[in-house]
Amino acid sequence: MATALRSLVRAVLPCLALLVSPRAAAADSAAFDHVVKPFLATHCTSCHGEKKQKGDLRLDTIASDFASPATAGHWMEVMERINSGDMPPKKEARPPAGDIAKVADWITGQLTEADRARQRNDHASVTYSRLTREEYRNSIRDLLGVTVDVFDPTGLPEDPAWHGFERIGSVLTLSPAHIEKYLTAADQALSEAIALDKQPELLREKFDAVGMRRVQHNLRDSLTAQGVLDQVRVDVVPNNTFIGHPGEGNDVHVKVSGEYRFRVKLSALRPEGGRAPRLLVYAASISRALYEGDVEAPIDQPTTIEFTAHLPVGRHQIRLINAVPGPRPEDRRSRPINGSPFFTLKRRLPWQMKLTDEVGKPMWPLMVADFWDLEGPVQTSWPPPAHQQLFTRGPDAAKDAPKDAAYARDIISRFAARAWRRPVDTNEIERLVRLAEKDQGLGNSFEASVKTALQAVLCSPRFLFLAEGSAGKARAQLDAWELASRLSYFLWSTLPDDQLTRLAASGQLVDQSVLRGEVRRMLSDGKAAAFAESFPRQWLRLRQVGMFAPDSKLYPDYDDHLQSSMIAESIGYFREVLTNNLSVREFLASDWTMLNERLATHYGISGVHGDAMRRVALKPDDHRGGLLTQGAILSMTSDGTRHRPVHRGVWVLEAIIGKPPPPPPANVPAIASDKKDQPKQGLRAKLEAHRADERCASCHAKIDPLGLAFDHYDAIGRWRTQEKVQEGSGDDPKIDASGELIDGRKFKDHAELKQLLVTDLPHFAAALTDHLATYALRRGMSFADRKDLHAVAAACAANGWRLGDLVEHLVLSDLFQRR
Amino acid sequence: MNSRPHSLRPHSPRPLSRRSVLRGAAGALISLPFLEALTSRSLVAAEPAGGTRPIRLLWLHSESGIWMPQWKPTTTGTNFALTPTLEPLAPYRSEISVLSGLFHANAFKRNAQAGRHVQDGMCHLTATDLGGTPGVAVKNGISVDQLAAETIGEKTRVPVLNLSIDRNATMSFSAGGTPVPVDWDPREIFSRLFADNSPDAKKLAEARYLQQRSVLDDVMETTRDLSTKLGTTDRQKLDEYLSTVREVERRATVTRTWADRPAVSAPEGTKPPGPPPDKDRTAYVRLLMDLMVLALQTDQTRLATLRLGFMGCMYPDIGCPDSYHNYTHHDFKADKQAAMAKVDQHRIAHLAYFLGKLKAVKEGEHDLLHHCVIHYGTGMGADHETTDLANLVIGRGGGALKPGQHLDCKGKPLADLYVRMMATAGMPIKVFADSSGALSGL
Repeated sequence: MATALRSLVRAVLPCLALLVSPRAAAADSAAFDHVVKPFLATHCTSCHGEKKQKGDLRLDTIASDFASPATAGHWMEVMERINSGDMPPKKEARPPAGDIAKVADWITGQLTEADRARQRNDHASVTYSRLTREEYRNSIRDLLGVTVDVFDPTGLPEDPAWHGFERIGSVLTLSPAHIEKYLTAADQALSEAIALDKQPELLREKFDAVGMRRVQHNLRDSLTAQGVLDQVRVDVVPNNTFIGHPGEGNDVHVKVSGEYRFRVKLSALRPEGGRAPRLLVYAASISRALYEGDVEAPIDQPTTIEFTAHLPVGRHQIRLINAVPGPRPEDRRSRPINGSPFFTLKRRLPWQMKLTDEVGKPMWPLMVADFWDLEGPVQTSWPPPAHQQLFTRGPDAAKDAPKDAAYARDIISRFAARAWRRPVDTNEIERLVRLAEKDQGLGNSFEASVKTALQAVLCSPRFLFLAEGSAGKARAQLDAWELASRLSYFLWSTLPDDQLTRLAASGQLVDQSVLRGEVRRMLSDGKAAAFAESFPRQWLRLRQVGMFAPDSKLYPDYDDHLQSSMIAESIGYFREVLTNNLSVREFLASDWTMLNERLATHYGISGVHGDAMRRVALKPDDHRGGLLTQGAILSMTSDGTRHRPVHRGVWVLEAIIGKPPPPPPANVPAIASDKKDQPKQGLRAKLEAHRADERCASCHAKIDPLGLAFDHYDAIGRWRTQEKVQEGSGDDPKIDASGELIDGRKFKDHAELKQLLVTDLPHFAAALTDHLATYALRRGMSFADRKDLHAVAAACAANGWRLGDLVEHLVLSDLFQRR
Repeated sequence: MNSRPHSLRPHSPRPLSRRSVLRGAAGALISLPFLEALTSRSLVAAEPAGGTRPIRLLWLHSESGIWMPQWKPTTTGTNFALTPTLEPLAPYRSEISVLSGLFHANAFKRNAQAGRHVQDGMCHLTATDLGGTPGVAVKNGISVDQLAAETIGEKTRVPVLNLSIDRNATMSFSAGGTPVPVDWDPREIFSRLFADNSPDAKKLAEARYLQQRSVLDDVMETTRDLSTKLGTTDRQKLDEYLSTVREVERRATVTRTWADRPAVSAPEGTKPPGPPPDKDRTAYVRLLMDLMVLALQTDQTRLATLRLGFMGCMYPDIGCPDSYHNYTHHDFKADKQAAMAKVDQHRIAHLAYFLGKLKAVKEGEHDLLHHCVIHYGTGMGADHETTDLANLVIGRGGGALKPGQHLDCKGKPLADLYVRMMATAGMPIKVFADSSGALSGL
């Protein structure tokens, strides 16, 4: 291993020269003069030139200025027309396919570059980037210690993504809905954090077996009379969906928003060789899973699951669900509708027998619940901690220290400085103090009027936007405050903490050794979980997992638990590499992965028990290792019915190789569907037919081999040796995953492709640096950033391309510290 | 730290275990009681104050093209025969006009940033050249529904209702070209329409209005201060922020004027809807249509848009398991074209359902449909680019229109139709996007 790394390091320097991607070629104006112009002159300008301008298009004078959207649009038109074979027209001579590919490549490179260069926004003296909803939630949490349910249906609008990244400044726009939500969210958060009244009464609700079943008649009385009420329990079988009447669940009326503590007492029995019951506590009213997890507890030793969840004001319907898919045993038993619907230990009724076998073992993943209850809002203190930090004079201080404008000014300016992440402007504070005074004039209390001013602080662009630069000045370097914010939102997705703020205030943060210390401290802090989850989710596009849900008839094994386990594998894998500062090589190939029981079963790997994700060693026969053969990646690049080699190839090009291919032209014939009367044909054969068309060949020669290499995995990522073809005669075709890279290197399957990618480790490290920088700087990386990116990647070579080093070198780079 | 259970799929559009919960709950148990409540009663619209019935303008968008050979009638004029795709509209044949040959020029200008599909949704109601602003890659203009709302929006509690089954797919853009988010949650839509109007609620609303007003004033002042120090190129983001805040303040002021007007409640027996039936697309579309009817019949709004589908929409329930978009790349294969036509007809059946609901609401001597002008269409043709778009115009606009024909519009801009629609509702707007005037012959 060590030798391998050393030889890799030796290979680094020559390879870095190769990192010049299509973008480098793109910037090369020689290509325009020597490739593109002659092509246009030969094939286009007789109709689109000086004499004739068919379709109002003139190509002999067209500029290579892609910054102009109109010119870029013309170029795109040119690319699509020559790619699709529309142009030159049929009666003219066909240009050689290789020439078309070169011109199309050049145009693609220019378009990509122009897009990214626009995001650099070099000419603006100040750049603004709105907080994402995740960052908004975390910032409010750190400021006030309360939760805003930004991901609820009633939360903040979803943030649009650019190539998977959800924090690109120029893409994050605003709408009136945002402002309205910001107003309400700030009001609600401040209401929870500031005590304007006496402590709200605790809401306590408890649903025992009778309560959960919501039986109509006086069963409770009769069970009480029999003295067995405390022994009655409720069975929750799979697909029984929920307790209570269909569509409703148990009603809870929440009058004060806040954290609520839940308890569910239950036994949970796993059938022999089957899956453990999975408890899902679901609030239908807000479409949110409050809790989800496998449970196992013997019938005579019930366990109590405890958790807290933030609930908004409203009537909530809470359901207890046994979220294991499979047959619905409820259909098979003849429980009288109005009879005794309960599972008791002492009285086993005939219908209960259908849930267990002769010796009393469960036939299904079976839950038997005693009760569930909730209590809240839970307060760690009253007034809440944030209130005590803001209102330093306390409730009784009125006697000795007046609640005057000076006090309001003190509270507001302390809060604004933290929320706005920099020293505050006196004029703005005075305006907020006047706002509070005016509010008090309307008859509101001192606290209420200060709260109004704090609401304005949280709705100010100074809070909602990350601003970098000085108005009217051409300042290239970030100041210490901007650096602190950029760093904090990069690694923590939230505002700077006290130490970072102190270092910004003293200016020490710009000292490189101080900065290095901060990166290390921040990465080892729990808040770095935000980076360890959000970055891989955006880089790997995990948001797309399950977007095209696999057909339940073709893939009955696929369920939500599997889906969430797949995502957890990829995120857990990234976290493992980050926290142990492993080499980024692990992303390409490894002899371990992160699994829980559900996913291990799916992969056919034995010996993993329980729901928690953990690192598991792999054997070559397991056919796993690295990101590329993880379930999330393989299934997200498939659709509802089959695997899609082209999507897989595009994904590899974008995420791993860092060379996004051009978008497909319109009217490209899609892959033919299966024919009943012909021998079964695998996708590979169909794609090859597709590639025989020279219009398609130029792009697909690059894309397809990278996808076909993973043909051993079906649409939900299971290993196979034959491709299941729905229609046709004869046997299913055997998998052939071999292929050839564009540079001629051959591989026989995914494992060999992975090894080729490992050989190109510097390429991958550079591509990953590009993704990291896009995430950190909130803009696409352009040609002008290339040198810096290479320097960052190269700095990590000596120590074996470790992920933590990459993050550290990125932060310490000039690129990160520049606007 | 947050002690809530860690959700691994914050973005999942499918919040529940697919087989467990939704099988039992989605269509049948949540939305149906609501649907039944509407159908089981004879419906009478609210009596208007002035005596004349307001004209309602609606835009329904079907996305990603339509398979024209099964859609377009072969002859023009009033004797045209309904094509297979349009067959579900047979009961309403006299209320529809099929418009051929409308051109949506700006949706076909090549844009390096927005592809055809993005243009489909973005340009559909704006008819704007997205790359028309120098130096800006994608900049939209105001959409026709928002423009109409500037004139008649304040006459109703909800100026315009923008609905979609895809929560991220809007076709509406404000004056500055910023996207207006859609409403997609039936519960939120219902509570927007029928707000609590008790004295206590009013008092609370007034206090909230005053507080919000002063917060927004402060925020605007801060933003203006920040903004004046900046050059014009720097100001874009702050200007967007400022105009958005101003719009919110304006809306709040309008809402406030509504607080003193008599409460409108949902028709008796209407049960508030449940969460969106994500898995049952038919139930979902029709639930949103029910809400539209409810809003129009109680005169809570006179303008509405609805997006019936999205690019990746799949329809396994009618035997079309691949996405509609994949069918549009039909490769000249008959089975894919047939699947496309099948989905087209399925969507037209939704439209027929909607028309049935509108017709069932009596308004004076006529019905609600009589006082509507409905546009149904898509921003692209069958093969992603054709100049012959599929368009329907339905309803009589109170008697101003004479539907029941197939009209060849001979390359007139689609925006001409929008101008005509606004004119029908009494709006003296002569210029919109690339329009050349109001479309005649309807």
